[in-house]
Amino acid sequence: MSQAPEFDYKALLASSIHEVKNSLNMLLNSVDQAMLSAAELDNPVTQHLLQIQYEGKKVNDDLVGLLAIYRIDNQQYSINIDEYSVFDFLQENLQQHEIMMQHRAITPSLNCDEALNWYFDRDLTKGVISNVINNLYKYTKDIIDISATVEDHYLVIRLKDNGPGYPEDMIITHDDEGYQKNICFDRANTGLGLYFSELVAELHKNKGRSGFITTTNDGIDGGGQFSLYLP
Amino acid sequence: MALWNLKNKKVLIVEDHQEMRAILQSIVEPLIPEEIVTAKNGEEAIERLEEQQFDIVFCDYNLGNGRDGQQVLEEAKYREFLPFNAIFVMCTAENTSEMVMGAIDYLPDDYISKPFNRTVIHSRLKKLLDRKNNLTDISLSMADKDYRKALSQCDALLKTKPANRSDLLKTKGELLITLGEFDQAVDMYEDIIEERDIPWAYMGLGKTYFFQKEYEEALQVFSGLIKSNPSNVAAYDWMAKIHEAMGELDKAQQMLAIGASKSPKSLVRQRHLAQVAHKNNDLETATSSYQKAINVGQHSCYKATDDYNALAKTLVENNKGNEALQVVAKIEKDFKNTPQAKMAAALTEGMIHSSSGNEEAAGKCLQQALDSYAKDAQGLSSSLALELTDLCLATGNEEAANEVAQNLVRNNHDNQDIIAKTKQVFADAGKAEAGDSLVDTTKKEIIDLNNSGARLLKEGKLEESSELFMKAARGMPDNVIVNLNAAYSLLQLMKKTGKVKKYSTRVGDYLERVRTLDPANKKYHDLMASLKQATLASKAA
Repeated sequence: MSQAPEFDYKALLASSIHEVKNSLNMLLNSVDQAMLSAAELDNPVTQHLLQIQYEGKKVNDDLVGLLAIYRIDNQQYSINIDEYSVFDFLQENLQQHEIMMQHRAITPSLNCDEALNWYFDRDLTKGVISNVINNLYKYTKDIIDISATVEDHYLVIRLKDNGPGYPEDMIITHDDEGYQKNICFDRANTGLGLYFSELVAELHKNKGRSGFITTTNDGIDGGGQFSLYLP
Repeated sequence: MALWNLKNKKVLIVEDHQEMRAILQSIVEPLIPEEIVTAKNGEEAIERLEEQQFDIVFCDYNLGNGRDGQQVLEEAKYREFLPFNAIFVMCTAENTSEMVMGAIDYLPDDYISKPFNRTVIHSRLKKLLDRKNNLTDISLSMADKDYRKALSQCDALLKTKPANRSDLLKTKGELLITLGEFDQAVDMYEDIIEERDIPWAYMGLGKTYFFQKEYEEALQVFSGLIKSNPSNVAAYDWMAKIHEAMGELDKAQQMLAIGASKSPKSLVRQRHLAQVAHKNNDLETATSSYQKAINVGQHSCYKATDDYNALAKTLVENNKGNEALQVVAKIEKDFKNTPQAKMAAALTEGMIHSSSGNEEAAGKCLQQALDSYAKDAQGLSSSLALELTDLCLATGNEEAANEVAQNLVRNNHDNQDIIAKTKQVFADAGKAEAGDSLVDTTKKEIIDLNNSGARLLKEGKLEESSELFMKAARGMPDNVIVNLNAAYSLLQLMKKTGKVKKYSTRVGDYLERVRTLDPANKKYHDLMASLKQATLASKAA
């Protein structure tokens, strides 16, 4: 590979992402405003706005995920672990999706000790949670349940819904031996979201232990349950 | 309707994107701040910050051409534009970790990544205000430079097992290091690390070992940090400092080169790399790094003529005299023809002519530099003062060389580095003996003066000792010990006479000089505390 184009590519990538994210920010804020103005729930415009907002958030999440994966693979990502209030963090993630949930009559619930603090990379973890929430939003019937507890020195963040659950080939379990995936688990098919989540979880390390994720159908009424374990 | 608001608070929004600026403004408006001011780039931001004090600053990191958000933050803090409890929030479209790791001195209070909405901004702001509120007393003491008091306030709060324990521990660590209480700092960081692998605790531990001169331990800590996170740029900076202190300049350069390649936008880092490369006689790296330092630092508050002079010097040593002359023109242009810039330019040009054997031109430039020097000796940094001495010697102006060197030594008689360099300049000019004797005599003169002042103090002749030190401090405004002694003597006089009002401002001025010269000076903190005590006692009475 020649040297000069590689540098240009990186600079171009960074500046384009800046541009795209600014535009997305504009777009999402405008949609938020429009939805606040669109008073009637069954107004057909609202449905379109919801769709725009959902897709916009998804584009943003994917962009964040892609960029992070690119950086991590190139050893350019510097994980920035600090202590945060878990409740504040999760609440903020819910607030990001607040308006669209209201319009789909989804009741989110958050069960977390307000005094619980934990150590994690806020940007990366936000990427993971936002991604899962967006997914639940798409598949749930009307419930999104988020909880956080400490189990065996891990912070466990669980997101459940009452939708149809994960398909067989997206179930990921984890034991002392590591990840147990279904035989047909394929990164290309399971998508960016889960791959990114796994990568982020594994980047979190403490005293020789790494983070991990699991996906099961232990949600509400057989719905999906995504769990993020951070040491 | 929110139950809280931003009443009486002034908000500055810095954002290059016009629509984004409007959105941010509409997000903040419902909180009814006293005023919202906007700026569309870094230059405007600095102008607004100069005009008035803001309580909250939202600043986008990427501001197009000119200063970026980090540079706005650095300048705001460096020039002390912000009140002690101000909140600075960096807004970013990019991931923040690169900014956190690349930053050398100052970090914002929080980062908010785009896209964000109203609810998120409001709740973040509320939390930041609460956090600042909780730390008000500590920040106030720190703003007053009363670090001992801040430390005891920190300890008192920590005993209450607060939610912001991590914040408090970070602050406590910094306070302990500032106060030179290294053993306590090591204990604290080790306790934290025993519980959990936290990068900032390792950083703090490594720094403390460095200040304790436990270089091997420090190296171990920082290489551990790099192993677990190869992008931790600050760790490379510290590794370089340690290797430098150990005299391992090759390794120092290696570390700085890695750091600079991972995070190239810092003037301070590029400058450090250039300086070390220059010492290693790696002229190519030195030249290109000085060049980069100048380029990335165009809008930085750390921008200095020293770098231009040093760049010209590396070019001359590399037989590129013509390119060096272009640097001279750049000094005047980039520093808008200030007297200091003219002095630096004349001095640099003189050095170039002198090295190419053009003595007449060199002499002319030297005269110009000396004329400005006569008007404002303080306008010259110590490294440029050394250059000026060098040029005087090279052009046979021994008398002027002696004067400049003497002045430099007077102001820095206890600075080993400057003393050694001054002697070296004379030695390089083949006048080692004359240099040694000049430096040693001048040094002795200052030591004697301090001693006779101390004797007067001991005898209780406080008027005389104060008189003597004040006179000395006038002649040597940059001498740490003389300023400390002047402050100490006046403090004693103040206590004896009870005339607090008469002396306190002056004592404060001397101490302020010390703080800018050597912020970690232990004696400074003790005197500051006793000045505070005396003024408080007088107010109570």
